[in-house]
Amino acid sequence: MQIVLTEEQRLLAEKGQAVEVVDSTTNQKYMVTIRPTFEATAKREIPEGIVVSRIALRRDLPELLSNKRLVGQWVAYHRNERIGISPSGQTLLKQCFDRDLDETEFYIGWIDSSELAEIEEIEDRRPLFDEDAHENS
Amino acid sequence: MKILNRLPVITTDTLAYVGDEAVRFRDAQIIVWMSITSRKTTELSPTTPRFPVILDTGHSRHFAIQEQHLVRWSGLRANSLPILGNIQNRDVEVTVLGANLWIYLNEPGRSTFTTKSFKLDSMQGVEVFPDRNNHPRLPLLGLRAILSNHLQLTVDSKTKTVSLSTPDWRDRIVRWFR
Repeated sequence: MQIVLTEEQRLLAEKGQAVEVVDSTTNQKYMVTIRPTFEATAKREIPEGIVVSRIALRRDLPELLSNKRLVGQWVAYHRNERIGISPSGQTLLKQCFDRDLDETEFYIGWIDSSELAEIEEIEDRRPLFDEDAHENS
Repeated sequence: MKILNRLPVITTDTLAYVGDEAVRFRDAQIIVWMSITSRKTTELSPTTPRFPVILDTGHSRHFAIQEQHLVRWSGLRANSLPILGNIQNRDVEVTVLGANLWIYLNEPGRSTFTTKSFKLDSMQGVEVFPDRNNHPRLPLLGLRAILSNHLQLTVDSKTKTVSLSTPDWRDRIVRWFR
């Protein structure tokens, strides 16, 4: 089906509104909107400061995990420097911002074995057959 | 602190609206309402957009969302958030972005959510899925968010309600001796 919008419909779509179009073959009506351009899934490099900070965390993690009291707490690194350990990640985040660190210059990790994975895989839970597979939510 | 106080589980397919967009909640789903902000946001504004999220203990990370939902429902631009890493979901590379997550408190025993919220520690980031697979259909709040925030989740099958809370002093004492 080829969609041809009138000038009025194009203006409405550009304002973010859905416009009604009709398939001339089936007379089925459709509502169409402009598809926004997204960028998070476009390839973006992980900032070097975060990469270096994560490597420092992984380097220290076996030792941290051996201390039962620390397991489950958060730990912040600014490159090779450990900024602190806390039960609250938000506390560490505030410490990083109080030091005027850019968000790309530190990493706050969980003292948990999940931080050791180089590339973490998650369970694929996409349904094989889903009545909503082609619906928008 | 009680975050979810006897929140009813969805027991029949229900339509709800995020702005003017209809979304379907399914039978036996736990639906909470949340907001995402940049990590520099320390106070949540009453005008911050909120959206429904499935509390899904089968999801092994903190929080998953399709990019289109992040953009439309939270009002954030993905490139305004720092990229913390990537994870693999079968053939899909998923981007992990740094953001703050806020979960709204419900009125006790009801599905109505208040304006009060609880900020979750989400330092490991949120997973932003590409739109092409339409997955996850609704954002997911995963088990790691509950574990890493030391929260207690209770499902009461008799009343079909869910409670989520931070540990009180009794829980802390019990945990200390374990």
